[in-house]
Amino acid sequence: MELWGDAWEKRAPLLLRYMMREPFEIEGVAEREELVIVSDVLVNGANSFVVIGSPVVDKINGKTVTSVRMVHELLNTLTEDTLRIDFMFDDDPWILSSRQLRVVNDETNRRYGVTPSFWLEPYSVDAAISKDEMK
Amino acid sequence: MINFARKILILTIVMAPLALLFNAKAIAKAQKKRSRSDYERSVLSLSITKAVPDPDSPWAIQNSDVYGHAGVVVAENIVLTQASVVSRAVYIQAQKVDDVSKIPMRVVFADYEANLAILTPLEGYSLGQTRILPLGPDIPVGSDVTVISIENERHLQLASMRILDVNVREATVGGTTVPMYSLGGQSRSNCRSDLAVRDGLLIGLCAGVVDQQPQIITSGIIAHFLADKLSTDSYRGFGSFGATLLPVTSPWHRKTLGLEVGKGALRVAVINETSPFADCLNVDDVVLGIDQIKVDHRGFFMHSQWGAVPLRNYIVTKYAGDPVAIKFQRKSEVKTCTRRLRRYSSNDYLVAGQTNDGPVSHMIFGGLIFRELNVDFLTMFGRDWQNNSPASLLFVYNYQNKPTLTRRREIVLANVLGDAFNAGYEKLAYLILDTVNGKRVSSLDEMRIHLKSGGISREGMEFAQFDFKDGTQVVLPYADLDEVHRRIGRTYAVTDPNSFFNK
Repeated sequence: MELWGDAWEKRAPLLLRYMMREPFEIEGVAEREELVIVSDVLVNGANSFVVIGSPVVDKINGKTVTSVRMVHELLNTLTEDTLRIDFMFDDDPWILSSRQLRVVNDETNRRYGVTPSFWLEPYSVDAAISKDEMK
Repeated sequence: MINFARKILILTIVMAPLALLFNAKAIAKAQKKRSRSDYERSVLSLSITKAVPDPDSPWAIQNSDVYGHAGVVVAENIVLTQASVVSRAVYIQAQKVDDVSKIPMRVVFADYEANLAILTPLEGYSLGQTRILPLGPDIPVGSDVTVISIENERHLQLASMRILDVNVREATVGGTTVPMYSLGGQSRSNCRSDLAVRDGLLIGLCAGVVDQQPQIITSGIIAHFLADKLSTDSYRGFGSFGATLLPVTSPWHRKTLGLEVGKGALRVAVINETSPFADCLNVDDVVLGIDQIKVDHRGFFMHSQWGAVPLRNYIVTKYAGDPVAIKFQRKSEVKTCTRRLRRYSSNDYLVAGQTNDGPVSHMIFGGLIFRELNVDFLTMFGRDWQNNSPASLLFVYNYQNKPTLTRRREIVLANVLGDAFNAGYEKLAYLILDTVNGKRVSSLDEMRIHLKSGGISREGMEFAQFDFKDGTQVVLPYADLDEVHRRIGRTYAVTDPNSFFNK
């Protein structure tokens, strides 16, 4: 929340402030281990059309997201052709190509210097160096 | 558009005052180069005295303030201004800038959703020699306009500005959305029904300021309002589609919806239960066009003056009750659905719009003041209420504010008139009510019914139990309630006995 500065209690998005203060007043929040938000988009060819509206992730391919770890597991075990992300209090889901995301993922991670625990590959793989270098 | 033009033609023949608005000779004469003096007979200074309810004591009038705004003569003895300006007005006077006399006025009609109102002199009075300012057409983005405002109630101030953009915005908080010009060239902190004119024609009326840019209700919307009111027996108002339509930008999303590459379409993201199309459109249907209008791949259509604009710009040319045909695709099947537009009403929403007349609905039970959550209530948190109101109330306004056929409301404990009877609860405020005596409430009337139907018995006494959404619970006895109300009435000068719950 402090990403929004010292005055985050006024400046952070209303939805996040309210969820932080009154999480049990919003249906479907209490049973989640943690709330997962999309904080930024590392733009690549697979996601260049997305816009962050409401940042709180509700579902991934129909499954209610209850933790960041679950996001990691769902993204690593995608079997569907498309990745659908539904957000809480938002009527405009993201629908992306699973295959295209995998294709551009390595390049995206290298370009933005993503550290291992924040990307699609298993933790054993370091995003900052190529798979060839790891061998 | 043809239908609308035909209506305008018919109306011009039928109604003499309206005819002046569209009279070709008048327009030609008006289009000559105009100076400040030319507008002095068309633009009036309005002095409006308002009686505004006290936000903390809704049974009382807070004060009587006087507001200065501009008005423009659009027909014989008919003056146009913003509806929000005349809301809760108790006395209105008009004054020409070259005349010391003030003419008492009355509101002929106000469409608070579209934020437009027309006034006329009280019986026995006349505006005297005035000049009707003809209504101009919608004009392109990039056009220069002159903005006329009234300074010190006596002087017209003219400023050159430029139309930077045209956006669909709420005409007033919670009101219907209409196209508005954003003007640039000068920063403005406010506008008081300032007028935008060009070549002697009225181009629009300022309804507010966004990012220091005046927002101008377009002449097309003003013509729609005037034609509706001045030439028909019953005002129809602006139609509402009642659905949220969004462009489909992801190629993969398009694929899942069965849309070909480049095909113009808008996805139905939300369909309100109040929508006339609620029985034939579903979420994830794809709208291809309305009547003869086709949408492009971004979901826009080509407006003759403004280029690519949202479909709402077409809907606002229609009247409530007009039939509209939607062509849409569901999976791979193309269908058409025709329905009559329903009139937009901010009262349909969970958080209703501003109340513009009549008392503020409220109920006092043992010192607890209950009110319906509406824009009036939120605006008591000041000009920056959209940031400064309690988060729980803003959450309802921003994320749960849908229209319902039953006009459901949230009830708020506004504050507590401290008394021995409610000791311990006196600091409670801004809590949203969940249940009364175990029953859910969706209006003040329903709350009265639940309170009257009996409370909760404990140890031989009857109690009213209020449960709020944040978990707070208030329990007060019914016994001696009449006496308590008399005492609170005396202490806090609650003059209207109807303010109190009466079993």
